[in-house]
Amino acid sequence: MRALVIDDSRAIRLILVQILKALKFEVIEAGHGLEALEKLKESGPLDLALVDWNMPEMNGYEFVCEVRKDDRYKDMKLMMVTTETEMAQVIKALEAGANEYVMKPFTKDMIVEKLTIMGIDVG
Amino acid sequence: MQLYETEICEYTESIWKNILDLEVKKIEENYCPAEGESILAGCVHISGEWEGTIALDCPAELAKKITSIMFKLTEDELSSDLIQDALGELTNMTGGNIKSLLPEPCYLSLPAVTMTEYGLKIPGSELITTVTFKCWGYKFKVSILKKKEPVASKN
Repeated sequence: MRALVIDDSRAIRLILVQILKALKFEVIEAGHGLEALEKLKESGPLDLALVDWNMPEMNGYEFVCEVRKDDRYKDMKLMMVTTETEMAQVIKALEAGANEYVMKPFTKDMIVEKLTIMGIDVG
Repeated sequence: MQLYETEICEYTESIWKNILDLEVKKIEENYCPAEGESILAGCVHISGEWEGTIALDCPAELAKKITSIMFKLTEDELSSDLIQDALGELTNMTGGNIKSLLPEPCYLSLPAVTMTEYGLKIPGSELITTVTFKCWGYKFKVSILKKKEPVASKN
């Protein structure tokens, strides 16, 4: 399985990449939404993207909207991994096409639980 | 008890435990950096129904140690860019969690981090809460600064 990790913090990307690699994912990284769209163009559709909300250039919500406009990515699971806590914002992201939502600080178990809820087999 | 003090303790302990696997403890003593001591000051601004700043002040030595844990590198291998990234993300998570206590809607800025010997000055703000913690023998603090209400014109 292949995943994209999008976060402007290199530290958080590293932690998420380590979690996903341990779950046998092949992982691509991006520092913001625009870079992520470029990486997607190169890679083609992936199985999963973990998306931060608050990023420069293009934020996570805008990225989700862009991805969901494109039918090629309709099967890609999108999980917001963010400090955003407002219920209205959570609903907005889910309505835009995010499949799941996890709050920072997260643990590996929380990520695994959400992947399972999304129907991703993590063995 | 200061405003949101209990919640700041809960969030800070959870963030440092989950992300760094470190135990931090609130202490009664206030963290006042010694003269000439380098500190890293991170902040995020909140705008909307509540306006102000969440700040994280941390000695440079402790910032290096936590960055070393986050990136799994030795302290000699760290660049200032990585240290700022690590402290910025801790500040972001702290600010994001505190934002959940504030009236909605509120918006969180991207984190800013600076190295200073003098602490961070946020003009037009008043300190409403500051909590000092101890980790590995180092003190650090989390503060909430609220934007001052504009003084009504006498004209």
